[in-house]
Amino acid sequence: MKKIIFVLISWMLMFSNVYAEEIKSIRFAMEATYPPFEYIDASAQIKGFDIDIAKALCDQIKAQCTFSNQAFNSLIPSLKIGKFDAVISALGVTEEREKQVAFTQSYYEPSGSFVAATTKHYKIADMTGKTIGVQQGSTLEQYVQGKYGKKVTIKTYASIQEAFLDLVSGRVDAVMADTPIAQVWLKQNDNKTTYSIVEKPIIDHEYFGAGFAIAVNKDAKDLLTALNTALATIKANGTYDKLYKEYFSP
Amino acid sequence: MIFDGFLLQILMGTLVTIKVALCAAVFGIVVGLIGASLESIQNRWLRYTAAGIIFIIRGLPELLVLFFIYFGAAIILSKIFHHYIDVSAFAAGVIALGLIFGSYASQVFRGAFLAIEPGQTEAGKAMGFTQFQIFTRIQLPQAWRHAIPGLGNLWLVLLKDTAIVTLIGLADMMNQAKIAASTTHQPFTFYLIAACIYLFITSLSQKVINFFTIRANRYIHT
Repeated sequence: MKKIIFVLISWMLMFSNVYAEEIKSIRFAMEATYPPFEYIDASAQIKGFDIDIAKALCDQIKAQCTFSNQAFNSLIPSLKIGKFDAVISALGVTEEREKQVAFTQSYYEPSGSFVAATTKHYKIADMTGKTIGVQQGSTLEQYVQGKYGKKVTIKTYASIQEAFLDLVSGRVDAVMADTPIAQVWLKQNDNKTTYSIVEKPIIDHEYFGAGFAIAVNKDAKDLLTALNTALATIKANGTYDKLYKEYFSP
Repeated sequence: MIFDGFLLQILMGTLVTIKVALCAAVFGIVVGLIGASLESIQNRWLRYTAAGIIFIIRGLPELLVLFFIYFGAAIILSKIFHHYIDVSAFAAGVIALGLIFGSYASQVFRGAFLAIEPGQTEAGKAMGFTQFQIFTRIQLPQAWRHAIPGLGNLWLVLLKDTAIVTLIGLADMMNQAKIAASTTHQPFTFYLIAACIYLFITSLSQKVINFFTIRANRYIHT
């Protein structure tokens, strides 16, 4: 009886090897509902900045890459038991996650940007006395509070889109938002003609974390080295800059 | 144009949803029948084992059963064979939903078998029927009649429970609707489409259930 059940279960499963000696293929997993980093378009293709980065890395390693859409919560468990080789899903490096998986060098640094009317010519160093809109509970709220504290008036919003609405109506002088989000808003409805990012995006590891990186299984040392080498190469040869401009240029 | 592409994906997802639900229902009915017969036989060990498994599955959230099978089975099998073995998301979804459906169905079947008068089986014995003939010719057709309303309910629950297979990466209707909603920033449109499709399938199911109910009751003249 046991044997029969055993055989039946075996039939239902597909067998495959995890660790190939040479890296010939990399199975990437991501949760593709986070444009512009990863999303699925109308033709059912997974697309986005992360995917283009991964493809560029695979070209360097000369490996075949596959991409698979998974639920965000099951990404790290799947990686740990070997269902996939790597996770690239706008995944921020945190201490908690580093206990479970290994991370490559970061390939994207999250940054915040002040958005304000171009004609006001604000400076990042001189926001004293201004009213600033931020999203409630975001790292950006903590940043503004930590850096400017009582020198500015902070207005918090449940959604960043509401903060932008108040920027247009004049209730706030500037909005602090994630840079990609700010850029998407600037592109909408000719907002670009009146509003712009104050100076340049702000990068702060203390508040925004060490950046997004690719996660791999802790045992996959070869893969980690290969990915890091490839990442350094595409950063040096201009491929990375080209992709970055394509997705995040203002 | 964009709308068409996503609509097609949702329809493909609908097929996956229906496939998972049908496979799980067939598997679940078999599990339920086995469970019901094990629970009513004399052997104490078999009876307690079956009752225990049914108790555990009925007591756990569906999601947990699914995760145990999808992640747990992969880990256990990998440990046994000393190399990684993949459990396909489809198989895991069907087995998990089938087990859940089956453990509830076993109770429906048990009730249905108990509802048959003992005189019926005794009459079968008196006529010289074998145990198997009594089961297939006398018990099953009558139990079926009592089980249909309960099974119909379970089917509707199962159909909606299939949405949890999204969490193990299966591209079912709910998953596709979520993808379309996040890419186009139009959650309302696509979730509404998914809701309409679910309602369409459930109302169609109701018709089929009614057909079987009438068929199973056709020998009763009141």
